[in-house]
Amino acid sequence: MTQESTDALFRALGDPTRRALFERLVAGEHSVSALAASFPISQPAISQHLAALRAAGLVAVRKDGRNAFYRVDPKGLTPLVTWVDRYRAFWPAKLDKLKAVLRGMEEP
Amino acid sequence: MNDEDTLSFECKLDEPPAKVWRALTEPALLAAWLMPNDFAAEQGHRCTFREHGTEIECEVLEVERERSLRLRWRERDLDSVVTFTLLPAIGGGTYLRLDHGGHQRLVGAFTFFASAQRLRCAA
Repeated sequence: MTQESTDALFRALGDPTRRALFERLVAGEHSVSALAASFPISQPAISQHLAALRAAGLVAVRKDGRNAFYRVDPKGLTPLVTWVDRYRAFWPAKLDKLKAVLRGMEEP
Repeated sequence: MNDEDTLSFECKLDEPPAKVWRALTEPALLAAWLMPNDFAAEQGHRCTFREHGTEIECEVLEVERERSLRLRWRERDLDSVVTFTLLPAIGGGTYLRLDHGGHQRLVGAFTFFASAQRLRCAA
Protein backbone atom coordinates (compact mmCIF):
# COMPACT_ATOMS: atom_id res chain seq x y z
CA MET A 1 0.00 0.00 0.00
CA THR A 2 1.53 3.30 -1.05
CA GLN A 3 1.83 6.32 1.20
CA GLU A 4 -0.21 8.36 -1.34
CA SER A 5 -3.24 6.10 -1.02
CA THR A 6 -3.01 6.18 2.77
CA ASP A 7 -2.89 9.97 2.69
CA ALA A 8 -5.84 10.10 0.26
CA LEU A 9 -7.83 7.85 2.57
CA PHE A 10 -7.14 9.91 5.68
CA ARG A 11 -7.78 13.17 3.81
CA ALA A 12 -11.12 11.82 2.56
CA LEU A 13 -12.14 10.74 6.06
CA GLY A 14 -10.65 13.81 7.73
CA ASP A 15 -13.78 15.80 6.87
CA PRO A 16 -16.55 15.30 9.47
CA THR A 17 -19.38 15.33 6.90
CA ARG A 18 -17.65 12.78 4.69
CA ARG A 19 -16.94 10.62 7.71
CA ALA A 20 -20.61 10.80 8.73
CA LEU A 21 -21.68 9.90 5.19
CA PHE A 22 -19.25 7.00 5.15
CA GLU A 23 -20.48 5.73 8.52
CA ARG A 24 -24.03 5.93 7.23
CA LEU A 25 -23.06 3.80 4.22
CA VAL A 26 -21.37 1.24 6.47
CA ALA A 27 -24.92 0.40 7.58
CA GLY A 28 -25.99 -0.31 3.97
CA GLU A 29 -26.54 1.03 0.48
CA HIS A 30 -28.26 4.44 0.18
CA SER A 31 -29.42 6.58 -2.73
CA VAL A 32 -28.09 10.13 -3.00
CA SER A 33 -31.59 11.49 -2.40
CA ALA A 34 -32.05 9.37 0.73
CA LEU A 35 -28.71 10.65 2.07
CA ALA A 36 -29.61 14.25 1.19
CA ALA A 37 -32.87 13.88 3.09
CA SER A 38 -31.07 13.01 6.31
CA PHE A 39 -28.13 15.45 6.16
CA PRO A 40 -28.50 19.21 6.60
CA ILE A 41 -26.67 20.00 3.36
CA SER A 42 -27.74 20.25 -0.29
CA GLN A 43 -27.87 17.30 -2.65
CA PRO A 44 -25.07 18.75 -4.84
CA ALA A 45 -22.90 19.06 -1.70
CA ILE A 46 -23.68 15.44 -0.80
CA SER A 47 -22.75 14.39 -4.34
CA GLN A 48 -19.45 16.26 -4.07
CA HIS A 49 -18.56 14.53 -0.80
CA LEU A 50 -19.54 11.15 -2.26
CA ALA A 51 -17.30 11.84 -5.26
CA ALA A 52 -14.39 12.50 -2.89
CA LEU A 53 -15.08 9.25 -1.02
CA ARG A 54 -15.27 7.45 -4.36
CA ALA A 55 -11.96 8.96 -5.51
CA ALA A 56 -10.37 7.61 -2.33
CA GLY A 57 -11.76 4.16 -3.16
CA LEU A 58 -13.97 4.09 -0.07
CA VAL A 59 -17.36 3.84 -1.78
CA ALA A 60 -18.75 2.35 -4.97
CA VAL A 61 -21.72 3.58 -6.98
CA ARG A 62 -24.52 1.78 -8.82
CA LYS A 63 -26.79 3.61 -11.26
CA ASP A 64 -30.43 2.58 -11.54
CA GLY A 65 -32.36 4.79 -13.93
CA ARG A 66 -32.04 8.33 -12.64
CA ASN A 67 -30.94 7.26 -9.17
CA ALA A 68 -27.40 6.66 -7.96
CA PHE A 69 -26.92 4.25 -5.08
CA TYR A 70 -23.76 4.34 -2.96
CA ARG A 71 -22.27 1.59 -0.82
CA VAL A 72 -19.03 1.04 1.08
CA ASP A 73 -16.17 -0.56 -0.83
CA PRO A 74 -14.40 -2.60 1.88
CA LYS A 75 -11.18 -2.66 -0.18
CA GLY A 76 -10.94 1.10 0.35
CA LEU A 77 -10.14 0.55 4.02
CA THR A 78 -7.06 -1.52 3.19
CA PRO A 79 -4.64 1.33 4.04
CA LEU A 80 -6.25 1.67 7.44
CA VAL A 81 -6.07 -2.07 8.02
CA THR A 82 -2.44 -1.91 6.92
CA TRP A 83 -1.79 0.85 9.46
CA VAL A 84 -3.36 -1.23 12.22
CA ASP A 85 -1.45 -4.35 11.14
CA ARG A 86 1.80 -2.39 11.12
CA TYR A 87 1.33 -1.24 14.73
CA ARG A 88 0.17 -4.70 15.75
CA ALA A 89 3.64 -5.91 14.76
CA PHE A 90 5.48 -2.73 15.78
CA TRP A 91 4.54 -2.61 19.48
CA PRO A 92 5.26 -6.26 20.43
CA ALA A 93 8.69 -5.95 18.76
CA LYS A 94 9.36 -2.68 20.62
CA LEU A 95 8.17 -4.14 23.94
CA ASP A 96 10.61 -7.02 23.47
CA LYS A 97 13.37 -4.45 23.04
CA LEU A 98 12.14 -2.62 26.14
CA LYS A 99 12.54 -5.84 28.14
CA ALA A 100 16.12 -6.17 26.90
CA VAL A 101 16.86 -2.53 27.78
CA LEU A 102 15.42 -3.03 31.28
CA ARG A 103 17.61 -6.09 31.83
CA GLY A 104 20.66 -4.07 30.80
CA MET A 105 19.97 -1.08 33.08
CA GLU A 106 22.03 -0.53 36.19
CA GLU A 107 20.27 -0.76 39.57
CA PRO A 108 17.92 0.47 40.77
CA MET B 1 -10.95 4.06 25.68
CA ASN B 2 -13.04 2.34 23.05
CA ASP B 3 -11.93 -1.24 22.39
CA GLU B 4 -13.07 -1.00 18.80
CA ASP B 5 -10.53 1.60 17.79
CA THR B 6 -7.70 0.79 20.18
CA LEU B 7 -4.80 -1.61 19.94
CA SER B 8 -3.93 -2.89 23.41
CA PHE B 9 -0.90 -4.78 24.65
CA GLU B 10 -0.15 -5.99 28.15
CA CYS B 11 2.95 -7.48 29.65
CA LYS B 12 4.44 -8.31 33.01
CA LEU B 13 7.92 -6.96 33.58
CA ASP B 14 10.34 -8.11 36.29
CA GLU B 15 11.54 -4.59 37.06
CA PRO B 16 9.74 -2.19 39.47
CA PRO B 17 7.64 0.73 38.15
CA ALA B 18 10.36 3.28 39.00
CA LYS B 19 12.80 1.53 36.70
CA VAL B 20 10.25 0.96 33.94
CA TRP B 21 9.32 4.65 34.19
CA ARG B 22 12.93 5.63 33.52
CA ALA B 23 12.98 3.43 30.40
CA LEU B 24 9.77 5.12 29.21
CA THR B 25 10.87 8.69 29.83
CA GLU B 26 14.67 9.07 29.59
CA PRO B 27 15.57 9.97 25.98
CA ALA B 28 18.66 7.73 25.80
CA LEU B 29 16.79 4.71 27.21
CA LEU B 30 13.75 5.43 24.99
CA ALA B 31 16.04 5.61 21.99
CA ALA B 32 17.46 2.20 22.86
CA TRP B 33 14.10 0.44 22.58
CA LEU B 34 11.68 2.76 20.76
CA MET B 35 13.22 5.38 18.48
CA PRO B 36 15.76 8.22 18.57
CA ASN B 37 13.99 11.23 20.04
CA ASP B 38 14.10 14.56 21.86
CA PHE B 39 11.58 13.48 24.47
CA ALA B 40 10.95 15.06 27.87
CA ALA B 41 8.32 13.86 30.35
CA GLU B 42 6.66 17.26 30.75
CA GLN B 43 3.06 17.92 29.89
CA GLY B 44 2.83 19.91 26.66
CA HIS B 45 6.35 19.02 25.52
CA ARG B 46 6.55 18.42 21.78
CA CYS B 47 9.13 16.15 20.29
CA THR B 48 9.87 13.94 17.32
CA PHE B 49 10.65 10.24 17.11
CA ARG B 50 12.66 9.42 13.97
CA GLU B 51 13.79 6.12 12.56
CA HIS B 52 14.27 4.64 9.06
CA GLY B 53 12.33 7.42 7.34
CA THR B 54 9.48 7.20 9.85
CA GLU B 55 8.76 10.44 11.64
CA ILE B 56 6.38 10.60 14.57
CA GLU B 57 5.38 14.00 15.89
CA CYS B 58 4.68 13.60 19.54
CA GLU B 59 3.14 15.74 22.25
CA VAL B 60 3.07 14.81 25.92
CA LEU B 61 -0.61 14.96 26.92
CA GLU B 62 -0.46 13.66 30.49
CA VAL B 63 2.24 12.60 32.88
CA GLU B 64 1.59 10.78 36.12
CA ARG B 65 4.99 9.77 37.41
CA GLU B 66 5.52 5.99 37.56
CA ARG B 67 1.82 5.45 36.77
CA SER B 68 0.87 6.66 33.32
CA LEU B 69 2.10 8.52 30.29
CA ARG B 70 -0.18 9.68 27.51
CA LEU B 71 1.25 10.84 24.20
CA ARG B 72 -0.26 12.29 21.08
CA TRP B 73 1.25 10.23 18.28
CA ARG B 74 0.98 11.85 14.87
CA GLU B 75 2.26 10.14 11.78
CA ARG B 76 1.63 12.24 8.64
CA ASP B 77 -2.14 12.80 8.54
CA LEU B 78 -3.00 10.21 11.14
CA ASP B 79 -3.41 11.44 14.64
CA SER B 80 -3.52 8.88 17.42
CA VAL B 81 -2.90 8.55 21.14
CA VAL B 82 -0.46 6.20 22.85
CA THR B 83 -0.96 5.53 26.56
CA PHE B 84 1.40 3.62 28.82
CA THR B 85 -0.08 2.50 32.14
CA LEU B 86 2.07 1.02 34.91
CA LEU B 87 0.78 -1.01 37.83
CA PRO B 88 3.00 -2.43 40.56
CA ALA B 89 2.94 -6.23 40.55
CA ILE B 90 3.19 -8.44 43.62
CA GLY B 91 6.82 -9.45 44.01
CA GLY B 92 8.22 -6.13 42.82
CA GLY B 93 7.59 -6.23 39.07
CA THR B 94 5.35 -4.11 36.87
CA TYR B 95 2.28 -4.73 34.78
CA LEU B 96 2.66 -2.56 31.70
CA ARG B 97 -0.27 -1.81 29.46
CA LEU B 98 0.01 0.01 26.16
CA ASP B 99 -3.07 1.39 24.40
CA HIS B 100 -2.78 2.86 20.93
CA GLY B 101 -5.94 4.37 19.55
CA GLY B 102 -8.16 7.38 19.70
CA HIS B 103 -7.57 8.21 16.04
CA GLN B 104 -10.22 8.84 13.40
CA ARG B 105 -13.53 7.93 14.93
CA LEU B 106 -14.52 5.30 12.41
CA VAL B 107 -16.45 3.20 14.83
CA GLY B 108 -18.66 1.59 12.20
CA ALA B 109 -15.81 0.97 9.82
CA PHE B 110 -13.57 -0.42 12.51
CA THR B 111 -16.00 -3.23 13.25
CA PHE B 112 -14.73 -4.83 10.03
CA PHE B 113 -11.56 -5.83 11.79
CA ALA B 114 -12.00 -4.92 15.45
CA SER B 115 -12.53 -8.40 16.77
CA ALA B 116 -8.96 -9.64 16.85
CA GLN B 117 -7.20 -6.48 17.97
CA ARG B 118 -6.75 -7.28 21.62
CA LEU B 119 -3.31 -8.80 21.81
CA ARG B 120 -0.93 -9.76 24.53
CA CYS B 121 2.81 -9.74 24.38
CA ALA B 122 4.58 -12.72 25.90
CA ALA B 123 5.35 -12.24 29.59
